[in-house]
Amino acid sequence: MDQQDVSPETLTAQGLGEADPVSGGLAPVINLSTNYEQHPDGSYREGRVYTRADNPTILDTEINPAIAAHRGRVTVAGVAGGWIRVRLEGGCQGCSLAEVTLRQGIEPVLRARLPAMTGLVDVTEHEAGTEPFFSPAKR
Amino acid sequence: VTAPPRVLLLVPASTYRAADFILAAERMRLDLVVASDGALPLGRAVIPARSAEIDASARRILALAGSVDAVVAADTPMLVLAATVAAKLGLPHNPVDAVRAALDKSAQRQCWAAAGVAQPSFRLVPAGDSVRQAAAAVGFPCVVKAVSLSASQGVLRADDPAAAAQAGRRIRQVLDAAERPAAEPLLVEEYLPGPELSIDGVLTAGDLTVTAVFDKPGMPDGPTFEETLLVTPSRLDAGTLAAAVRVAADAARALGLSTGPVHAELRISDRGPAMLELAPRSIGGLCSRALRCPGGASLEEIVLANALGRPVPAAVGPARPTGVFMLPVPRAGVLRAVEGRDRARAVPGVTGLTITIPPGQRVRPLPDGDRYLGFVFAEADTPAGVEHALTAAVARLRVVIQ
Repeated sequence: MDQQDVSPETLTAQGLGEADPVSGGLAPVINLSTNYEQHPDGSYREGRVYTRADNPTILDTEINPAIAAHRGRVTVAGVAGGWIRVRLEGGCQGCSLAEVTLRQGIEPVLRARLPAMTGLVDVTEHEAGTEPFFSPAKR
Repeated sequence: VTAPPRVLLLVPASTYRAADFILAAERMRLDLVVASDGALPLGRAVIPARSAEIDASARRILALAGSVDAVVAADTPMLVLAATVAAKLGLPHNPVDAVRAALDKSAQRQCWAAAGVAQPSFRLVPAGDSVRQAAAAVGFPCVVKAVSLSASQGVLRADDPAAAAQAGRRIRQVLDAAERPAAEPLLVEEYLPGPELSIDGVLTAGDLTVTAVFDKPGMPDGPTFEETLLVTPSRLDAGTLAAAVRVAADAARALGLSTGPVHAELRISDRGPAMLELAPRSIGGLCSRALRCPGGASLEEIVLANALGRPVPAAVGPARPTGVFMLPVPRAGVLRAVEGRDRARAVPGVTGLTITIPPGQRVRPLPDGDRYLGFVFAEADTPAGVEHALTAAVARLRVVIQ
């Protein structure tokens, strides 16, 4: 199946994980796996299942290790209509260059890996950041 | 398919302005190349650029940026570098010397004096010379200020010779803390009573198109000069406003500025409009968020369009009266909280409130400080309604500093 045929939601969920709308927690990435179920006659039936456990995301493998150098971290707050809502934490929260990192650093990585992505939305409450890596200074 | 215009944006690491310019470029579907002294943790797209190393940074940018259609500085520290790079690329730009003059209050005053631009009388005080004598020559009350700082940092009113001398010593302390050269002169200028306003606009081949005129109804009489309330459109009469715009345009021209944004501050004294300061950039802080130009464009979109040579519509301004209240730091200490935000946001007309200093950070009031606690935004049917909403919202805030 061509990656372009997959819905943006599936692609982004596969790549990034998704926030659980009920618990508010971050559900791990969805990956397709193969499940084998044994029948009473001893044969096996093969079926596809979605698993969420132990599947590292693009954020885990490519983005957060780099951003950790600035004491930052990115999490997914939700995915809808191809738009990925991300929350910046730690050194990224309230950083004067957070938007630059988002648009020049994070977005190109995600676009390269998730071509069906429409765009990124920053839902961070930057004013609540307590340790921005770069602080806004004088006017 | 035509490739989108490519804009080089120079972004200092410490600025309020990066996000608004980047979002504007995104809305305009521009291909953005960013150069910054703030090394990013991810990606190789940002070109390292240091405002203190103009030649080396310009060489690096020219080698790495590729072809660009415009160069824009997001904030003051990158202005000279932006002009330098644009000159080398053959793009419309302000002369580098004009930008340097505009960033130095002493050069600014001398340019305007030579060109006959209306301004307060002034004396420059070289390091080691007597502030008291200069103040006596200017007359009292006077204003003693640093020539290199901004946002009212290092600016004090003095009402007598002793206060002028004390202000000079105090401002030297501020300059030391800001790691400015000890040889830097001070400026002593006449205190002009009267309403203060700011004029924002963009220059195209030396012609000024005004994007906003803000009244500053909350300006204190001293000893420090916190800018707090900005409300647009101005309530001054049309004749006074037209005269103020002429003075601002003359001031920009006298400095040699020809292109890009300008932010001018003037007082309307009994002699008419007089220039206080002018910077070759758009309005600072988050204040531009109080503006929406025709078509919903932001001020940053206007600046980017101007840099790309696109026409800027005349007489642009907000659809409704709007304003911003910049929250000053009331005293020195460690900021613990700004309480009452929900109650402030609930004031009718208030459209936003952003606190820009995280709790736990040390803050200093003027004349030492160079930051605001945050910004409150409002709109209403009248400028007076905007002012009322902003002051009511701020009255509901409680700043906790220990």
